[in-house]
Amino acid sequence: MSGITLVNQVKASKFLSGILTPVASAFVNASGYRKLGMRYDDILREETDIIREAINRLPENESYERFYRMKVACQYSLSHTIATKETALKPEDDIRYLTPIIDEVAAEFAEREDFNNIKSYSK
Amino acid sequence: MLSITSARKTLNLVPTLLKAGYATAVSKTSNGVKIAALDESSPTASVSLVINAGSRFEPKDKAGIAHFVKNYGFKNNGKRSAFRIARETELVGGVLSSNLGRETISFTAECLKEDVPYFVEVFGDLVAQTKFAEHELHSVATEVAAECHLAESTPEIAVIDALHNAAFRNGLGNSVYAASYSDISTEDLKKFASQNFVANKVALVATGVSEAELKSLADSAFSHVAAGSAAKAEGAKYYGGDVRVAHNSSVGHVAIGHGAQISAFNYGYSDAGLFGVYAQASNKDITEAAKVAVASLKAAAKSVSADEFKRALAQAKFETAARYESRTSTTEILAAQALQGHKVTAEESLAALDNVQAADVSKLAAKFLSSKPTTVVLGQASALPYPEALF
Repeated sequence: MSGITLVNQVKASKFLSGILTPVASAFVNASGYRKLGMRYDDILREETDIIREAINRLPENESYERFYRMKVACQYSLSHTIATKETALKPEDDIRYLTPIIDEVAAEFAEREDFNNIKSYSK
Repeated sequence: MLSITSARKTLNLVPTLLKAGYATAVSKTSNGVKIAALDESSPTASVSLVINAGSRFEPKDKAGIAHFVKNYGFKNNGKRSAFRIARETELVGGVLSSNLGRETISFTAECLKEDVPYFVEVFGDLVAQTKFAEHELHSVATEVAAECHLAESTPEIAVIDALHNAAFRNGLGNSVYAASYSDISTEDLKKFASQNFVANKVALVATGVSEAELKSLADSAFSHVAAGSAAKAEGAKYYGGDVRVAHNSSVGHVAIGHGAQISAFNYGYSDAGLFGVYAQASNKDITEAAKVAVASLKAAAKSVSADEFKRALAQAKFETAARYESRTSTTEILAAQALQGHKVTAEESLAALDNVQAADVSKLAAKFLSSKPTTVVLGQASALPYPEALF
């Protein structure tokens, strides 16, 4: 993932995370994907080499559940409904199952890029 | 065309007859990794990581797992990705290879002398931190399948595999190739590695490096490896039998083996051996060829003439000395000796051969022939002889 991020600093500071966590939760709820039964990692843009490779590496059950959540979301969308409060995805179930794999793949791609542009010199 | 080669050559054997009398201690790191090196004056060096976890140590319900572990060598580990290992090896001009035997799995790097520390470090990480990642399993399984396919279509390999299976059934009889139905998961691999990638089952063998230098490198590179316990194989039991393999091969193959438990002579594995002859000839001539081979063994069991013995001794001496010349076989010898905990130099091996008498040879041949033979025929099975026709 690219861009400047202060997430680690915010997480480390009790004061900042105390202020920002409620704001973040409100933002996530407003974005509405949980009301379609989806997780954050389900709505990441799939059309990049890194994410496609990461999705390929998902264990079989994770990838099955991912597709299942997408089908459910499509169904909600087609029928112009959203999940009730009980059936919507709970915040504690919004697990980042893909992010660690994405980070790993991104590191591998970056490494490959580095080696492809390597300048060798004799000792 | 008629060619009879002694099965000794094919079986990748290590002479351990010299165990008694010449034992010198093998040096070890503090956690138990055995170190052996032969410092030659060549500009290149080779380092091998030898793990005493070959196909004979596979759990019964996980046949073929050692083959997968071999192909997982140099894959992603905690410190370096497979890609990085491959590229860095390319940059320093090294060559990596891995090899699976019935007793050991070995990983080898051939490189310039100055790059030895890098490869020792890679081997340390391989043992301690290989990830056995799920997404790598697909490519590993594809490689395994391709190697099995090659083995199946190579009669020389198929014959020796069938011979071992008939002679020892399990343990040493396990195939070094995973069957197409073998069901191996990354969990199985991690479990196998945690049991077998331990310091006491590992030997680090090098040529072109001094033993002291190799030891100091290994001391730091292998410091994170759990000590574990040394490999303990179930004692090999010899059964013997008759196997016929139908194979679309233009020539017929016959291999006749005799098993032996530990004795004065022991060619082969740490606690058992297979001795025999292997004949390969056109389907028309194969019976005759195999008969000639058996007859020569039988004649040797009766008596060996002084001339014949002199000739055989000279050949044995040459083969022994030549084994210390090539890098691959030197590495094999050093690894086997390190894992079995004794060292024998080329001179000592040659000196030991001088103690052999003609009578010993025929006594041994008679002993071999008294055990139930193992015969494997491979080719157009209907045209190939049954064992009764040979003895």
